[in-house]
Amino acid sequence: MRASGAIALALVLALPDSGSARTKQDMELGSELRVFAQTGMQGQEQVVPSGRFQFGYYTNELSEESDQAFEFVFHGRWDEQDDQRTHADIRELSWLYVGDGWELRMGARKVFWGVVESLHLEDIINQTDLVENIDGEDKLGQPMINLSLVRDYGIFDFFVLPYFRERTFPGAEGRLRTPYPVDTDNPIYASGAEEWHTDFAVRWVHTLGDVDIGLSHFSGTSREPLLTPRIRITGLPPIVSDPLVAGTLPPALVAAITPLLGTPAVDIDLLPVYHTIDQTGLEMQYIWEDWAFKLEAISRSGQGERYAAAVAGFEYTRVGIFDTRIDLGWVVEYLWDERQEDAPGFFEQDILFGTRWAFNNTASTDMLLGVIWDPETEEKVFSVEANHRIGSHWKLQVDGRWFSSGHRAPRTDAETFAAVVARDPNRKMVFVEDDDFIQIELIRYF
Amino acid sequence: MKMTKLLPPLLLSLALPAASLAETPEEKGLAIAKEAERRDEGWGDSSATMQMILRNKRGDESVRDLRSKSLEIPDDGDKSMIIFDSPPDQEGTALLTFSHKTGPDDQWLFLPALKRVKRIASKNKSGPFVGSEFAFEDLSSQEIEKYTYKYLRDEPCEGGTCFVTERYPTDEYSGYTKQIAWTDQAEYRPWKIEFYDRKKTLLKTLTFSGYKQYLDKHWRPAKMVMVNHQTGKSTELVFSDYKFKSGLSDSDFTQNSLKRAR
Repeated sequence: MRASGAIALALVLALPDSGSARTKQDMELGSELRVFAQTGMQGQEQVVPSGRFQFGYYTNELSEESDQAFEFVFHGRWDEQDDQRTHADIRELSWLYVGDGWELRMGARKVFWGVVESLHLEDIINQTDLVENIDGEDKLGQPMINLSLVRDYGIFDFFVLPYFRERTFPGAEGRLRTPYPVDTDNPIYASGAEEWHTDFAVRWVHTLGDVDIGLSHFSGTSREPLLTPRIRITGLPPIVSDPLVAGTLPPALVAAITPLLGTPAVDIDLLPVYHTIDQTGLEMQYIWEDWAFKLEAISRSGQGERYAAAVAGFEYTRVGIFDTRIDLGWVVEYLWDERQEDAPGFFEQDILFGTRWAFNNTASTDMLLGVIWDPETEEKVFSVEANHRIGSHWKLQVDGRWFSSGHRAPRTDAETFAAVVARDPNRKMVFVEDDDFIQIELIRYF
Repeated sequence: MKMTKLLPPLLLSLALPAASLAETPEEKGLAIAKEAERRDEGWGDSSATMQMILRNKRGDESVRDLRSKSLEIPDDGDKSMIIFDSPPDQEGTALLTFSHKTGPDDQWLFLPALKRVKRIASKNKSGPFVGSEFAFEDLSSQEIEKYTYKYLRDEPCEGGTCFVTERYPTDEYSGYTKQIAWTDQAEYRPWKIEFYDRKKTLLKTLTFSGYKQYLDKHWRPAKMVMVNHQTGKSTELVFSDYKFKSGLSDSDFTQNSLKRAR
């Protein structure tokens, strides 16, 4: 008895540290319903069911002698309406080695850079999985080799990115899309190497008391494509204009095409154009009392003229408002883009007002309400995001967006064509004007 | 040689009773806190697994699984990391704290879905920790400088005879006006703490149980129970797998280690 007890004890002692050695599997199933306020510009349905599956595997029990980990995350979605939103991706397939003061990470991974809430300017390693969510926070797995050095004067990260992932776009049947669908099968690359162009990046982050600072540089294929119309007229070669040159379609041509719109003789779609760019990024955050002051700025060259863009603002948090357990945060940010009217997105001189509610309850209920407002064009996007856990294995997630462009969406082919050709900077949002939606997702965790 | 080495302790032992004779309740309260700290010094680093059980008035339970790692920083507050293993929607979330003897702590939160490390303003630590009855300040590194003290009386307690001491937070953002702590006289371990809110009424009581000694020196409880008298809710913290001096260093408390903490 005693001997076997001693052996059992010895066995227990010989086992690796159970506190840090872990292998885990997890699964997530999400059922989503998107309800739009109106039928789509192209006649799409108002109610769209969709489903999501995620599988994750993680282990750090690869070696007895060294600190290593392996991670795999698969993501798949089915969408009733949009065959482009029905897609799958390997979010993570990576191996990590931890040395003394350094880490090597290889494989498909996700990396986040930046400090602000409204627009992630600096965040450039991963491609946006736009069909997942228009907020741009869902990302595709990026193949990389990443060496990270931890020094007294900060953390240095070096990236080699051997393969480029194209941005996902909603298909012709989808919503929250451009007026003409994006043909993701025919991207245009500035580099002859196309998606095999090797990109490089480096980043330094450091904390000096109440200040967090970061500097980064990226050299490679822009994650953000410019979209250019491709006009195919029967019997003629396709017309593809340079996205960097405004008004490249001569008025005579526009006049000639307009009567043909809506007939089988003409077909218009958009091509993504990926330039090779250099982007330098800066992020700063200063914590003072209950305030966090933030600045994120980039300077980019290679996509037309060099330009700068920045987001600056603050987040202020009140703990336990009105003698409750609720924390209330205020987020105010100013978004600026040097290209102003020529900026491809909505955000060239906008202001975000947001409020974040954390209920600090068992269900971890939280809510984020915000509006991004362009004082010059009066374009507004209202947004709501809320999370509420039910029991321990279920979660309800609600997302909503209301677009107010101040103009009605184009109704006819001629109006749509005119709007695309005119590229009216005051009407950038007009194409999603009818796409106000609320989306409810029920997630089950396994 | 030997004499000089022996002298200081001798002097100290002679000086002590004399000092305690003239001691004010404030001085005695501070001396108790200092002695408790002195006895626990030198733990180096530690880690533990925690289960947090939240109970509402009706007795409905909600469970969170966490792991913690801490590093003793002799001249400042400790460094610590808390990692969430459950509920599953929070798995991999991790909180890195550099606490300080005075002033706000430095705190970073890792959000695994976005892979984002977010620095958070932590001036006000009176808010609840993940929906529990523990406030951030209840779980942060307990430094002498965070309170002023007043000894009240001796009283029998679960740990034998206890010093009963009042302590007043020096942090103006604290959610409490005072705390009353029961510390046993044999080992200087806390057994009970009562928390009084900003209106000076009794808000919560924390009790400690299942003490075990590690490395022949450091006493740690197996269970802490916080009861909120005003809402009827309670939170139980059950500790297991305590480990000391497992070789953790500053490099285990960086933004890089926060990202891979899972």
